[in-house]
Amino acid sequence: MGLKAESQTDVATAGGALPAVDAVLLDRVSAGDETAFGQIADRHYAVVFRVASRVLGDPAEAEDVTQEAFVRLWRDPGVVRNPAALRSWLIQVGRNLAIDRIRRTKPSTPDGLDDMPDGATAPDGALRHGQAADVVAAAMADLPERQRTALQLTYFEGLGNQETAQVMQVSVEAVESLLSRARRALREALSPVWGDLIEELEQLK
Amino acid sequence: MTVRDKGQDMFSSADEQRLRELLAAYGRNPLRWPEADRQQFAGLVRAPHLLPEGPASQAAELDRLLDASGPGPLQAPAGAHGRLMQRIASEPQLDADPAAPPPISGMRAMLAAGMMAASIALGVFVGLDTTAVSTLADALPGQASSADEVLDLVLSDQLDDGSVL
Repeated sequence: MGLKAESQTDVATAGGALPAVDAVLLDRVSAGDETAFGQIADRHYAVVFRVASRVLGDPAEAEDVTQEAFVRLWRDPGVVRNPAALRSWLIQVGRNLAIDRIRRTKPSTPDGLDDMPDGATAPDGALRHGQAADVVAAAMADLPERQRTALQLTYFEGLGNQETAQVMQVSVEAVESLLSRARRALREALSPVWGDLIEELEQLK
Repeated sequence: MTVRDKGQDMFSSADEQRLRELLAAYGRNPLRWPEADRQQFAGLVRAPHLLPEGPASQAAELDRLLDASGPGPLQAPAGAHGRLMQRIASEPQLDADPAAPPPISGMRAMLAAGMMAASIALGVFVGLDTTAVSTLADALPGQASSADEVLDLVLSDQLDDGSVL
């Protein structure tokens, strides 16, 4: 599933960014309004969960860190300095919590998670029928965390590169570099079965 | 073959370099590119065949594979939203706005209603008793010099018989 014909901005809006709405809801949450908090959760829980899930690879753990991100928002809504960027804040906190959890469970992991693949098996042989999506997903899971997150946020979640940079706390140029490296790494990882993958997609047309 | 080789003078070599970067980072669909680049290369949205062929076809193939893989089976577990709201109900806020009126909902509304009912009941009780004490003070001028002393006597009696416990 991709963005098809939508622009980054269109998709970000359709995905629930609407910064003005977030700012109003956040203001109400600051006054202790649980209903407004529920509306924020309705709008942004899914994307925070998906990002955490990509990092952790475990839905139960992803739910834990997603819940923790939202609880932090509830406890101290004032910590969000730019209410219009609430979604970015939530994704950023969820991702950071997920990375912290990975580091706790894998103490030998170096600070640069980028240097360590996640252990999924790279495709190395003939492709079975109907396997294309799984093989590509496995190759994505094998990407270093920062490359995978940059690709997920821009390609699948429809965030613009500025919002992605904000979430990942890097420059826009760094996001672009991560995206280029992610796509290059995917091409290299999938090269042994590239022809089979494309052929399978042709058959699905 | 480059854009210029095609006889199109729409783009400089710097533009072509940028196009290659865009294809490498964002893929073949110009609608995925950053806003500023979309505006700069707006003509390509209507004439995508002018893109550098090799990088463009590579990017398009990878786009198709990514589209096929999708974001993955990443739906939130059933009941996750409810569990979050349940936890919130027991989490105090650190920085509630003191100027804002407190919201009335759920347990808080029940608590507020209960406290209000208790206040009214206490006020009625104290009011009635104070009236009674004043009357008693008037009726027992020799035994108590003031309403306060009468109140002490009454409360002592009530404590003795357990009526206020």
